[in-house]
Amino acid sequence: MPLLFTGNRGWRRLAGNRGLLFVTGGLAAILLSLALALAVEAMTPSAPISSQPTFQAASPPDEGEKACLVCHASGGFVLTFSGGEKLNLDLDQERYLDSVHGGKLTCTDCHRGYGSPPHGPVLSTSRRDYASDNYEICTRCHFTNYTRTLDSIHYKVLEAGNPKSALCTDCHSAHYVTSPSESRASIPQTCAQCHDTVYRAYQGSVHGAALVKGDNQDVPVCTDCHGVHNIYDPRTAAFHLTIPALCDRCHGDEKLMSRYGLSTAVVRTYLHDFHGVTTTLLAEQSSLAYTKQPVCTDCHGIHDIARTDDPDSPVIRQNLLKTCRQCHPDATENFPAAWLSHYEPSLRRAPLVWLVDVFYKIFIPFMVGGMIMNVLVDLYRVVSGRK
Amino acid sequence: MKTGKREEPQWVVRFQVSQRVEHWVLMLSFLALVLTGIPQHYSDLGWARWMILHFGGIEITRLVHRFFGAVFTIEAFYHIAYAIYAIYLRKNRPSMMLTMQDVSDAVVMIRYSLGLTDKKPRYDRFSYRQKFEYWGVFFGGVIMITTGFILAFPVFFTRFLPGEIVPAAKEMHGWEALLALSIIVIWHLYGTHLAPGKFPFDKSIFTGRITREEMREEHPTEYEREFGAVEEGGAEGVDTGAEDKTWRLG
Repeated sequence: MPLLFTGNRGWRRLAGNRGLLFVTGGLAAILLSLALALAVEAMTPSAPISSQPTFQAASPPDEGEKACLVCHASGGFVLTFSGGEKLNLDLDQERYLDSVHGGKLTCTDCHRGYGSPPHGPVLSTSRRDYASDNYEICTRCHFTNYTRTLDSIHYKVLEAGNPKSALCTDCHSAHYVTSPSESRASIPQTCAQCHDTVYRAYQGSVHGAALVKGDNQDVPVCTDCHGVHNIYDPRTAAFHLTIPALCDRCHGDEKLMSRYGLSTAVVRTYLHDFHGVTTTLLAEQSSLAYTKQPVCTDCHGIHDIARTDDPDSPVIRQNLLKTCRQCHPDATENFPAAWLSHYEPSLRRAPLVWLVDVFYKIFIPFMVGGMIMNVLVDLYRVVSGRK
Repeated sequence: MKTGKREEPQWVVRFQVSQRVEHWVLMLSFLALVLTGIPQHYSDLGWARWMILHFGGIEITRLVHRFFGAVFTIEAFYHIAYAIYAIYLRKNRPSMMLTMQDVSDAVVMIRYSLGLTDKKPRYDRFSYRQKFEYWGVFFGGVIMITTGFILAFPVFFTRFLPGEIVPAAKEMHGWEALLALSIIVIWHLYGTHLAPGKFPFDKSIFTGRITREEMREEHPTEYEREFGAVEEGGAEGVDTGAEDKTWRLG
């Protein structure tokens, strides 16, 4: 700063009085807008992302709850809907207290408007109807997750008029909600309530078998790939393009893969190859771009992914031609060998490719070096004045 | 025989029209191939993805690349066919062939540049530099066309070749492209843009002609063959009477 105000004629002449004005004015403007931006940022509240309840939980079981349980613990009451369906109204109290809501919520926190019996007529015509009329009570605390479900395919199907589409209570149950981290094996079983065929395929797959038989916690369950609340339609091009990144989450994780002796080069080699390059670039272009290029699941299968040493695996050499022919119907016997099976080229695995690489790694520097030397020699000639 | 100062230099035709057109086609298709090809090779880098995205995406980029690949291939076949016709049927001199003279010219030129000798090489129609470029493009082109077709039609080629040929072709195609680009940028652009007296660039491939002076200085062996020895008949050589002598192929 002092520099501006010395009688330094050279500096003043360089900047000029008008110049100095612009510089100081510009600096002030920049600082002012920075300050303004920071102030706005500080005042803007950020959206809550937690899915925890946003208001105080109810007090422990109180007189009111005990009153409900007089009839509804083991009273054997049965509700008959106007459509004829029956519903047993007993609550498994132990199981409820074991659940995440046990001891936190009382009956009337969700079953609102119920006082002393007789309770008024139930207007819903069936069990399903009742569930569908009342499930949105969950939003009182779980609004964020509810909002996410509005983006999901389950909601779209519901909107289209299918009453069987999943509601909160279908997956979480109404009274016996457990923490999702408690048992991963129960998640596929939950989805199996409606998606039984897929579940049976999953059970037979390398992932599913490890979960069901060995309670392996590393394998993906339904929600790991499909999402939890905002389950997108897995048949869309947009979802298709996200699959390599999805599989990469585990199969690109060095620590995780080393437990099973699996290489993380699988993702890298796919992305460097023709198919991987295309899917990556297409995804960037437009997430709606339809791609004919295969992603992991197109060759390895979706729910029935087999071990690579399984004789029925679609990706072992004997079966690969059939897999390739899904898109390349005219392919012949030699064609599958064009895919290096996720291996990096080496003298053992793909000698021709490896040799080409080695040759050019030597030849190109040799040629470029030679040419640059020639150019330098010629420049020397010019500079030393020899025509 | 004209002596004294000339106002207008005498021109000789060095490249006929078909050759000039060929060079344009080669230049434009090479440029298009490099611009659509190199980003595909380096597709995990940011600038490459930017380029591909702004071309209109990977599918369009590949389509354009293959189109110009086809143009390049057609031109290559035309060139070879014409060369065979010109050399065997029209009996033109195969002036691009490499000889021992070119090797010694190169050695002499390097020694001359470094000041180790005062002897300068005397070039025929094409100097060793130009021949090196030609054969570089020739063999590079053969490699690029072969590997390019394997990459474009893998199902067809694996009917009678082992599958590994496809990833091998992919490697070769990418590396050779880099080599070709390096040769063009370092060797060709230097030689044609920065050679003394040629800056901004050597126009002869576009105009098709050079002056007799340039011919005498740069290609003296060819000059002597066409116009007679420089030493005889004075500085301008023997005037055969033709003002604008058409310089045939070879």
